[in-house]
Amino acid sequence: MVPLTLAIIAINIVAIVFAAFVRGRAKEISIASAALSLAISLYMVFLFATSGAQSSVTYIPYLNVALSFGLSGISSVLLLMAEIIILVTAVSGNTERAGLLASSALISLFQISAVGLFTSTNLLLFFVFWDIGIVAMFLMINLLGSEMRHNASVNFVLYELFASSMLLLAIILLYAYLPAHSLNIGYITSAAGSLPLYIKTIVLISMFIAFMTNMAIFPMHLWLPDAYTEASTQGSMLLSGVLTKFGGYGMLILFALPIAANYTGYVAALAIVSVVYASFMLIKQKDLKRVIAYSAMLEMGVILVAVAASNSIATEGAVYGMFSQGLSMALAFLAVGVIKSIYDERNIDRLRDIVSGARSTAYMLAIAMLSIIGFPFTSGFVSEILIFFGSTQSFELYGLLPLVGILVMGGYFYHIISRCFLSRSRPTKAGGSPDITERFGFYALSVLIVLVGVLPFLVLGLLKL
Amino acid sequence: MIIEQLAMLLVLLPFAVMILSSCVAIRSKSRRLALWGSLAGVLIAAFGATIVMDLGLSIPLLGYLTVTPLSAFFLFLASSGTALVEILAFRYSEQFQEFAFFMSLSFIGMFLIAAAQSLLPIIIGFELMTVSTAFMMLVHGRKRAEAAIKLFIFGSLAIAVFAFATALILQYNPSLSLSAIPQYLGYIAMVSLALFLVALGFETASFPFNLWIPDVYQGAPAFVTAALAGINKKIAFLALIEVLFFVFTAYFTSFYRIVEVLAIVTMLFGNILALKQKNLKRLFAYSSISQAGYILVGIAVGTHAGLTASLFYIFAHSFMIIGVFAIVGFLESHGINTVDDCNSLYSRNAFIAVSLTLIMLSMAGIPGLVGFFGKFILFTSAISAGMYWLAVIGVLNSFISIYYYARIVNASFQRKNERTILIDRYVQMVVVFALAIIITFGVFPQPLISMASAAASFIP
Amino acid sequence: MLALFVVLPFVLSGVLAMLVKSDRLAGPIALAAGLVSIGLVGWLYLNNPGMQALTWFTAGAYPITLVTSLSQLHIWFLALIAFMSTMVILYSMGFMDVPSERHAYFSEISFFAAGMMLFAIGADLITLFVGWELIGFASYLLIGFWRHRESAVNAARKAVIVLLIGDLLMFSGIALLWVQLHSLSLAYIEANASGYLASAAALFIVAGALTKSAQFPFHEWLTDAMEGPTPVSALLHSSTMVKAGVFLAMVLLPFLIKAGMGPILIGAGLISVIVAVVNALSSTHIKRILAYSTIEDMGLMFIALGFGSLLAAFLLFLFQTLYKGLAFMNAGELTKANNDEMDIRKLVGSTRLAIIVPVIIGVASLAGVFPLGGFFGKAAVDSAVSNYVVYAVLMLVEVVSSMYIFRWLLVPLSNRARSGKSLYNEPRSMVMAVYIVSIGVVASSLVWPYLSGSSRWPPISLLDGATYTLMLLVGFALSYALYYKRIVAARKMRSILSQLSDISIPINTFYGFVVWVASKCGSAVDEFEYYLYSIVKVCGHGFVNISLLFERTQDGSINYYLVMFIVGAIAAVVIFSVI
Repeated sequence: MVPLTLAIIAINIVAIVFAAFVRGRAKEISIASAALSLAISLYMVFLFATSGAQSSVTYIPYLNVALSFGLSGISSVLLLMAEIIILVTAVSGNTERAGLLASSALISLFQISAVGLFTSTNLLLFFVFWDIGIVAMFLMINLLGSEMRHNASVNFVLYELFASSMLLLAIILLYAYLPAHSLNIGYITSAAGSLPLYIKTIVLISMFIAFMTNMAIFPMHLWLPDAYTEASTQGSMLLSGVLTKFGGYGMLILFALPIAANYTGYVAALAIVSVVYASFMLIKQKDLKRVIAYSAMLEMGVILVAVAASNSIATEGAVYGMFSQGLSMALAFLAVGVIKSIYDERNIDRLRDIVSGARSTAYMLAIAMLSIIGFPFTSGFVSEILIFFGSTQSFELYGLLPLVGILVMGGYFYHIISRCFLSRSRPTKAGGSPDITERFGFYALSVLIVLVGVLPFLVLGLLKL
Repeated sequence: MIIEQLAMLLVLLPFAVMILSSCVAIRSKSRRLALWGSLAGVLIAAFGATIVMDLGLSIPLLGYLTVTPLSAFFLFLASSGTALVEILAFRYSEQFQEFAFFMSLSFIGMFLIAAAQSLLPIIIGFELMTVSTAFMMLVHGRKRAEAAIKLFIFGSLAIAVFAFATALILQYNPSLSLSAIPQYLGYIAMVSLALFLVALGFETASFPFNLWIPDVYQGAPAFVTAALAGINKKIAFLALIEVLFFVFTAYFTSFYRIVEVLAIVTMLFGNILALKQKNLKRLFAYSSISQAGYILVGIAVGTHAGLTASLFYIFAHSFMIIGVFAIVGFLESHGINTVDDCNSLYSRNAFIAVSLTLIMLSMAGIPGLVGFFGKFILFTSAISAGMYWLAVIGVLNSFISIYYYARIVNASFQRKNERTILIDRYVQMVVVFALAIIITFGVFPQPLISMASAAASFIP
Repeated sequence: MLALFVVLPFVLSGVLAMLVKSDRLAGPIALAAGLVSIGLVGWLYLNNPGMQALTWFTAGAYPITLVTSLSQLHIWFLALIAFMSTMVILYSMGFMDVPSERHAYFSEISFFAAGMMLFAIGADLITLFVGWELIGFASYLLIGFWRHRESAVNAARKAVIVLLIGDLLMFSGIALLWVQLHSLSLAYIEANASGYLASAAALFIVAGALTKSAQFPFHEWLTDAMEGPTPVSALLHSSTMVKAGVFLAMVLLPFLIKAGMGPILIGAGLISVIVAVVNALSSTHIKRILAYSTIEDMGLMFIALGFGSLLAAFLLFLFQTLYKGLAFMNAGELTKANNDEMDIRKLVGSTRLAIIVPVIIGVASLAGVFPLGGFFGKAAVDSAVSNYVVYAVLMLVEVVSSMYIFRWLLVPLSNRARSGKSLYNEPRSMVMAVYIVSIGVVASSLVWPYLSGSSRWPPISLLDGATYTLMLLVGFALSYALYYKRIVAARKMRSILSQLSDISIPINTFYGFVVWVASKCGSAVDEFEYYLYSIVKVCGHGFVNISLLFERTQDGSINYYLVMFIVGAIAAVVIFSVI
């Protein structure tokens, strides 16, 4: 495993350097490195499926940290999701047609971060790749976003680095107090129960705040609307598709530790508040991108409910949900980006009759929205089944409360579809159509969404390993 | 025996080379000679230091000095730092030969402190360093006078206090050697300890003795600031370690609380005052004050782990700050003095913008760069020793520092069309070297940790 | 999974119609699919494979299994769907003379039919739910088919949102049942569900069914759905889709009764019936009247189910499909001949034999004239009612109901009598479809006792039948007098009617209320977010500005620094000496 992960990292570093020198071909380089990385990750997952490999190389003996990389069921699913989204972003995401060098370099940097994070079995390595991802995203928003990007990116980085300070605190505490002074995740899971109570509480609170900020749960969500809206299409795709899943993955790790068992109820309550809050914020938005941004916040809230439910169905639902949401959000933001480039407009009040002017884009955005609200034959349906069955099992009737949020969001989505896609009174003029790279992204993501929705065992089989 | 004598030669030779070459250069007005001479001397010293560290030698010299791996560690640091500063000065200084001369004197002073086996060489070393640095500033024109005078006044004051503190314990330690004085010596020893802390607090930028730093750093030419912050301060830390841990080992339980408080206050002072700072030099001055606070954390912890962490961070930060001031000096020479002036730096010179960002990220503690590991081992050692608040406040301070670093990054990456600035070869060399250290030890910190650990084991 | 193949023809035709963007071929393709599926259903009837199961995926430790069943209930529903869909497609080929988007229309109808058939064969809650959602979405697309009309688009949106509420309620019920039973097949649920969670689940499922079948308080969407093309109304909103709720209640009836949902079904049904007839009497829109009549029919079925009589409801279910579809088709013919005029006071009816016979057949069956099917259905429902109060109310309702039904028939005819205009020819396919369905109505009315043995059918007591016919005749008489002959002064009628419509407006505002609440919550949350953001911003800036405060102390004067130095030194000495 180690050589494979290091290979991916090396490929991406080479890609960054290469792109810096051969500016004209930067996009091709990033596509090539993304494709190669996807191939290698598929191979890694295959290795994991057949032999359950995990290996390590000595790194910092002083800190008892080894470069150990390995996969579990959960992380292999998330790894594949990240790789696919990154590849699609590299190929299709550049709807603004600007900033080729920066976007290629930053996508490769982000790739390093995603691969490292999902394959690391050591909490310190997890943290290292987490911060790298945040820096990459910060630069992406700062360099490639729209007018208000400076404010948005500084806000983003302050919140996220606050989260990582909390995570660092927890890591330091764990390192100091665990008898073996090792930060291996498996070891932490087994040994964390023996820590003194106050340490457990502090670790729990700080890790929870860290992951919650990353997932944009109320009240630490204030960075989300601006960051998503001001980022470029690629930035939004990566943010919603991959970066927030870091927090979700962290939450899963956190809830696998024996320290959170008594608080699942409170966590679920907070998550439900976040879901409902996001849904009501959503219906007041007029900018299409902001609408999708709040729906991303809502969905992460639903995932948190599933994680808090802590039973096998709910955990499967959380991972499956993250996979499904990642793809759907990426597709949604891609479609919105294309709409912006075709119509030069993102305001719901002014967009009309998209289905005539930009047919495939309209279909794709519709598929994405339907997947988000859980329409059958999309992956969202299966994830909804798993999540709500699981949360009802743990929380009975209260586990169904997030459906209120989904209802409100679904209502507004249908409103948007009615008004912007279908309604033919006063249609807006289209100036162009999606080009071949964007179509590739559309088809790749939508086919995956439907495929995984009809054949869930593709993901669930991997998950159960 | 032979090896040791050889090593001694290697260690003493550089001084000769440096002084001679600079004197000759002043005479002959040849800048290049001064540069090559200084670099040669410094390289020999570094080489010697490496040998000592590798072999773990301990070489007594002249009765008052001993070269241990600990000294070698700092000597190596001083050598590399001096080399970088010399390159910078070569590019920017009009009076380079004089500068080289004073730098050599300062270097000797550093060596004296590093190899000190008694308190006397420390005093002499400090004198040398302070006076030389003040002259280094003065040589470059009347504008620098204010900074030079401030440095001189406070430096002398500190040395005087140091001397007084030494005198106080004279009775217990007639030879003034760096050996431990016995416990329960009561009142006088405590006063002495206090005064030592005061004196060294000035040198190491601990609150409230560091108020002179922003003014002096801002007033001095950038390469002198680099030397001040990068090297002088670090040597002062060594002196602090020597005093606290060699002389006052028995009093650890009394003073570690104070050092802890000092660390916290210094960190906060530096970070808070940097938040709204507009002038680049001043901003980084405050930043380096807060970084000094981090180093104090490790000293407050006092265990082997803590001291290793301090040494690691001393090494790392030295290069970070030299790199920063190299860039700042470069920017200054093109008229960029404040954060707002940094607008669209990336489009003007991508290399500078990217390297500045990387160094700042390292200072903020982003993983992948050396600053992160430094902070990590500092805080873990703090918690292992039971000092939670240190760790918590340390982590929070890292977060606070993001704000002002982010402002600079924000400004530099804005898109405006302005004149391109061409990079300077010398500055590029220095910055690349600094970045190399930062990134290499950021990704593979183990070698540096081992070095620091070995050095730290010489502290009782 | 043999049964699933029945869905295939329509799926194929839907896909083909979308891909082959030809407007000429779309209709025939769909029609062909319809005919094939009728054949398939017939074949399945003869070679009934019974119940079949397929595991879709495993959730946690339990499998999610899809079950299909072809019991009597299912196969008859399936047959009706196939038949009606094909007829409506045939009808549409003539009705939809729009030059463009025809292929989209036929594609959407095909997908709807496929989804409906999937629903009809489902014997576990997941399959039912999938079909449920699919037909809801198809309905959304079809209602808003006239995209240039803002009112149509709004109606579609209203429909889909109300249906979404139902979807999520039903899903909640499914989740609750799963948690208790870990299996969602209908047979298992009937056998094992118990406890308060199961009752809650039953309540949610019933609520879902009520939204789909447009019962009070979720009934508004159906009337607005009349904005869609008439064939759509004929297929979805009268014969098939709205029946889905009733069907769901039918297949789950033992479970629902055990969970105590009987009174709720009866109550909802009764109120809906009353609301429907009141509104129908005051409405003048030709299709809306029929929509209210659909609501009334559904209400009657729910009442029958509430009393536990599956067979009575099923009887009405069967006939209602046919006569409602026929009624809408007739309405479509009429409006088309009158240039798309929808107000019955302005519509001119026709007494040409070719047109009037299917109309009479349709109306008669709708009203419940013996010996047509509607009579048996409604009489069976009356027989099933065992509560006197409910029975009395139903009697009254029947009078009003027959009043408005005959009003629907007579007013356009009376207009005809006055103006004497002649009508142009209807397209052949429309006429053909209408005739085939009328034949179906008549045939089914005559043949039904002999299908699967007369002992299986519900008893219809003679008394109920007679009472029903009596009420029917009273209503007819009133209607004839008021509307055809205009005997009683129109003013009096109009004042009663306007009072009725005033009542009806507040009853029909559930959707508006929901939207208003959501909007208010949205504004409140928006405000809150603004405050939260400001607080964080102020704190942040406040903190950062502390640095400005301290900066002022650094004024560069050596004196000050020296003072601090000395103060520090003294403090250090003091502290150390104290320790």
